Amino acid sequence: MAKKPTRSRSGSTRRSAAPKSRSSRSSKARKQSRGALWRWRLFQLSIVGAAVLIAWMFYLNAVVRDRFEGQRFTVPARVYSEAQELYAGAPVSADQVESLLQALGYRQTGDLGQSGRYLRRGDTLSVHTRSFEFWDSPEPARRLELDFSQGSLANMVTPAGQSVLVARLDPLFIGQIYPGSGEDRLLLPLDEVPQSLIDGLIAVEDRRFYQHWGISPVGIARALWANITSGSIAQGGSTLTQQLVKNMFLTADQTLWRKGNEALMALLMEWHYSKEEILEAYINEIYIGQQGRRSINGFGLGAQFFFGSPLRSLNIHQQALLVGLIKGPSYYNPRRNPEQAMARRNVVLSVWREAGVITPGEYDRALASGLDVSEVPGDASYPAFMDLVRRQLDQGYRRQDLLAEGLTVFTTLDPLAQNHLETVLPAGLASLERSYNLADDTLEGAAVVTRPSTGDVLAITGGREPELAGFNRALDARRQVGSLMKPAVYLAALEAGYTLASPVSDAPVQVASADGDLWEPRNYDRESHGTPLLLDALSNSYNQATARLGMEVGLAEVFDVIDRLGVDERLPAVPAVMLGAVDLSPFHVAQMYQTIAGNGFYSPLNAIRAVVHPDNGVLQRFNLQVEQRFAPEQMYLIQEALHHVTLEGTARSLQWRLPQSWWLAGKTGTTDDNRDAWFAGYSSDRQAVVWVGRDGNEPTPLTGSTGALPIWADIMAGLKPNQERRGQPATVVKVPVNARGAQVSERCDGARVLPFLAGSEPPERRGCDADPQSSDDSGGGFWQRLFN
Amino acid sequence: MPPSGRHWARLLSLLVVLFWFSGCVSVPDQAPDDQRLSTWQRQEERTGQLPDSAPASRDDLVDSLQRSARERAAVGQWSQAEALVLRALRIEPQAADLYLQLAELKTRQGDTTGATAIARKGLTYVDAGSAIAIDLQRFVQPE
Repeated sequence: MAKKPTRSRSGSTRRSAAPKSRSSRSSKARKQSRGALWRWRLFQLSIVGAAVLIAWMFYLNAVVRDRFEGQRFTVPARVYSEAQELYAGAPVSADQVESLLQALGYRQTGDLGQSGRYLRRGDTLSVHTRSFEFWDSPEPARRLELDFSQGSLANMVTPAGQSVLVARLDPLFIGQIYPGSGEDRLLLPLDEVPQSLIDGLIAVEDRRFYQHWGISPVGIARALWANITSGSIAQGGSTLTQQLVKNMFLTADQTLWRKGNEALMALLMEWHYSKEEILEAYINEIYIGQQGRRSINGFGLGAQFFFGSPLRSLNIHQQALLVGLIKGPSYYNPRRNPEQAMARRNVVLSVWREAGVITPGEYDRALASGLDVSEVPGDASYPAFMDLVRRQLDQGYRRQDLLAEGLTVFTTLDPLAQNHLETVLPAGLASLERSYNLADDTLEGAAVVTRPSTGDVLAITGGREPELAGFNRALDARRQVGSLMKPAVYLAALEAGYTLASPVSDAPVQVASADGDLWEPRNYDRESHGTPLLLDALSNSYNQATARLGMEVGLAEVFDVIDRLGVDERLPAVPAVMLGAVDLSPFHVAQMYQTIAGNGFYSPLNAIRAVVHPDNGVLQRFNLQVEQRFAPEQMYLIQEALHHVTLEGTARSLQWRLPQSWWLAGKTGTTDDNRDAWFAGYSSDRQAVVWVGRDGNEPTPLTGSTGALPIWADIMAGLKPNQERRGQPATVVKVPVNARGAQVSERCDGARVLPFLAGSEPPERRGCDADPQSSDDSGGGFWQRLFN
Repeated sequence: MPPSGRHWARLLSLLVVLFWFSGCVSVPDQAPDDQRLSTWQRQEERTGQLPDSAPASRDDLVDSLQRSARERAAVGQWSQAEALVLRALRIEPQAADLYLQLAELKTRQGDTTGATAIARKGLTYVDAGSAIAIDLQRFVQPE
């Protein structure tokens, strides 16, 4: 370190030589000495400052490189619905497909030159679909002519008339999972960005982009001059690099400290990375819109969000609007402030014309164009379904895997079914309130729709306001299920050798529990019904008969059946469970009935089709899990019994609520004081469960038949399940029986043909009123036998 | 010999006549389509003959997906093959031959338990004794 000079030594030498001149010399020397001192101090400060600056630069350099070479962008996991399959014979109407196109942000227009557009003429839809990278294969964009007839897609051809076998619409974006910052974007490499957009961006935001090193003194001077002359901050002198730095690393504060850091980091960024890398980062980073908490970043997502089209297919005027949005995404929001957006777009277009980015002809055409913005952003919010997706992801993945950037989650959600459910449930509840003179908004409900063949969950509503992400009753409302549990009792009985024609006593019953309490179930109508057939006891939902039957079969056997049906909840070991004195959610019930609708095969209800990592490909894909839990014969019999419920039992109103040609099966459920009204049922490959009640568990005037069933019927009417019915197991025979369960002639009045496990059918009896236990000789004589 | 003025006059009058009558000629391609007809019928009307290809059916689609699945399976792309069969199953949920194909895929991947379960479920959609039931039965392992 340099030694500090002392004044005393030189001063004393000069004082002793000549006092006057000494004084002047000494003053001069003092001045020189002070100057040297200040210079020295300045030098020292400079050294310290430079050291600090270098250290700070090292820090900033690390920040820039760390971010730029690591996880450059925040890309949350994006969740999509199932894609709508289009093929000749698909059970979708023109109205349904059009509603889906609108939800996806397709625009109706006569010009179908761009993907994301359609035209409806009567029962014909002309569509220019979007391309999409599905988890199993890519789907190209294409022009299709769709002809509909009688509620289904009759024919699908190209504009040239060539038949098209199958096409998939792009899936609906339904949300993000675990977004870190709320930012959302679709990452695009630079070579997928139209050159006109790149040139236009540079022309508007940073003309000297390819000349400067991160900061542009010329640009700053120009902006300064513009600001001084206008008396306000009208222009920014920031380069694209500075804007990128600000967006990526800094805040929007207008402070010298932030500006200084911005400049330093811009220089560092330019030093390390090429102009192309910086441009690509900018195009993916730039903030251009907001949707609630979701921030729309980058031109790729911006194109999708505002125009419903991929970036590469945007027209000049649409590209100009995107570039224009950078200046003020909120102020120039084309959906909220179309006039300001139009004015800004036109300014951008004029800049492009002056800069030679577009020709005067292109300028004129672009200027004459409308904003061309889609009405909706092409996404939807289904909080109840997303709740299920999150829970299932949590079960199958570690949190850090889910936080991996850019995961794509393909789900089983059917947007048509979901939208239908969200319309039908609130409307059904409101209708019930009117019919029963209940105060408005006092009833609540929940519903689940599944596909029995695969266990896919197609739709869920967690309440009458499905758009609200509150209490998800479909998953979390544990309510007594009432008679929905009865099929388990009857299934246990069938496994134990009973038949659908077995007589069951409906006399009052008392069961003493282990703790000495007496359980005395009563029928809903407070009456006993003699000795109905097992089939009728189920379809009329007799409590006394069911309790007797369950006790005869054995509680353990019934609980075993409940377990095999897929109810994995811990149930109280009391006989009242047989009549549904157990709290389950609609989702649990759907899982239970899924096993019945699935022909006795358990398949876990599933909401996730595939999870795709941007680099590593498919992480997980749906794998059909089936596990046989019941013999096909017994399952066939219980299905027939549940079908009978919809023909002659507590759900017989379905015969007029839905087409009589439909094969339906289901069960009503009502709990004490009508606190809960349920219906669970299925038709072919669609199953639905509906619960109606009150959040506070107060009584209602509704039963399963009057409260939940009408809503279930409306759901099914919209789902239009294909009416297919599997074949009858070879070991099942069908024979006519009378009201007492005896096999009689089919010509007897009231004889019903019922299915039986071969060998278990009642023996043939003569006489239409024969008792199954009686011998033929006891009833009728020779003449009667002759005519039978 | 260069054309005379009379020749030019004839040519000109011929062109005038042609232009005059061209307005009377109907152009089928630009005639407004009857929107009550389907694209299929409209094309038939326009061309006066059946379109180039017959309309695709649901069965064609399922066949095509099954074919693609077999192609994938042939090169060992089991997951993709399975995904294609499942896609077909969502269209035809009770088609036993799809269960048969799934059982085959499971077996070839060494998952005999899975194949048995799938085959058993497929059996619930067919009549006993049918050819496909016999095929499915081959994948059912004794318990």
